[in-house]
Amino acid sequence: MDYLWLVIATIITVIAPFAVAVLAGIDRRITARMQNRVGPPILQPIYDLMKLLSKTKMLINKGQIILATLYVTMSILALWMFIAGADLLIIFFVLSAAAAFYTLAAYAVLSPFSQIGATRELIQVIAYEPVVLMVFFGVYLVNGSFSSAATDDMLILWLPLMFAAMILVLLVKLQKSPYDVAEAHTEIVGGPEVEYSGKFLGLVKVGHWYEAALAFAVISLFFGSPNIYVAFAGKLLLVFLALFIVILVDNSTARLRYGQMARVVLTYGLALTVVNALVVWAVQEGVIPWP
Amino acid sequence: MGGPGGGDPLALKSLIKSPWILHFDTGSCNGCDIEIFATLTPLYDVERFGILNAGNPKHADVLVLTGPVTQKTRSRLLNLYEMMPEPKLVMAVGDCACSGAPFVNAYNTMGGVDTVIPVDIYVPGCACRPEAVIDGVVKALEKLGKLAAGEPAPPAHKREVSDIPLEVYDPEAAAAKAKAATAAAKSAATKGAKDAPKEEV
Repeated sequence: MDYLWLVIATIITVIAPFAVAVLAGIDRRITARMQNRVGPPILQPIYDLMKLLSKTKMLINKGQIILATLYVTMSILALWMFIAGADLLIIFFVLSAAAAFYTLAAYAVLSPFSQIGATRELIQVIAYEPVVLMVFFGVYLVNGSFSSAATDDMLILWLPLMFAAMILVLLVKLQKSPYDVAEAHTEIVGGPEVEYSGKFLGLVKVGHWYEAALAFAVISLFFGSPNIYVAFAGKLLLVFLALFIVILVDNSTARLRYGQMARVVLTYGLALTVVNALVVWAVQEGVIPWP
Repeated sequence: MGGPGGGDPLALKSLIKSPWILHFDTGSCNGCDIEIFATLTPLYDVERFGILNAGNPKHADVLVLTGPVTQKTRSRLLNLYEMMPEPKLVMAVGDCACSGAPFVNAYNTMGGVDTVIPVDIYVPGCACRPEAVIDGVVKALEKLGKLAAGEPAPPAHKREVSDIPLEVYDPEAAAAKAKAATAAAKSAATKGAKDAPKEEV
């Protein structure tokens, strides 16, 4: 790892939220087409953010804003570490810290919607973190290293079940139905987001985009090739594929209760990753003969 | 500060691209409410203008109001209006919200929305059609465009309430009055209790 790559990683980290915003715009457009309507412009999320950032400041208490700022900082740090090629386990802990700060910020206000949302956010974290940890362990099994630096290995051929489990995690992380339990717009009016307004809502949105960017970065880890152009195109295609599956599921299901979310992610999600890890281990140890 | 006057040009310009609405029923018969929900359906697809139903005053930019303001909803309406960050727009949808219509001078209503908060856009109709609501939103965005360009635009309109001969419901004053009444009753009761044995003696 040299200094030039750290500079490049910083530049990519600055650009990343805009890329995710465009992906979110594409998401909204495809959703609109699935519902037989025209839909907003592709850059709509960026317009929304510009509007939110130019509104006046209104805050409930300083603690909430400080914790929200820490959440955004931790999300940015996690993505930067991922691109810089840090240890996946450390990235995992930074990501957990981000989730913890977000939950604390939601607990810092007295609104019952925010409190319910914070509790659901915690249950959500308990549900998806073991799955993410197992996926990182799968990457270790194939690559022989916990480094997040891209390798030439085609991980999706080794870890197809872990990719499926990552789709489950994406549904939870991107707040898509049937697992949009923490924000649940029509039920608890945005959950942890309910008491942010104007500029601070924009700040939290940026944090969400960084988290989404990291989730997509983990998805992109599943494709590798010695040819850099093929690798780049393949990674992009895989991200689009994952996003399309998420949009399809989002538009064809209704929200489940948070208990159902935790049960499915912790049983099916975790089982997929464990079975996949066992098979990879068995093949590598020669228990299962492989041509 | 009434209406969208509080924002800088960039805020006004970006608001044109993504007006998020909050719908509040100040005492409507639900006729206009149904038309507003019809406007938000995929048939009219208002999301193509960036319009989203925020459902939260802290996230919203446009306050869409239906029905005459009743004395009970007045304090709630003021509360919601104050929770919205500047710049913001207020849209009165339907005849009742515009003027109070058949409820003018009724004992339980304040009249139109503009007797309580400044209104930027009036959308008349009983009930107003979704096309009229969309036209109202477009007019509101035109007004924002004018303000952003520094051109003169009609200010938000607030009617003087002094000419309406009714007692304005003030929750704090009402609470103070109730408290005083209870205190008076209590002191009368204790006096009575003190007096009673004396009478026996």
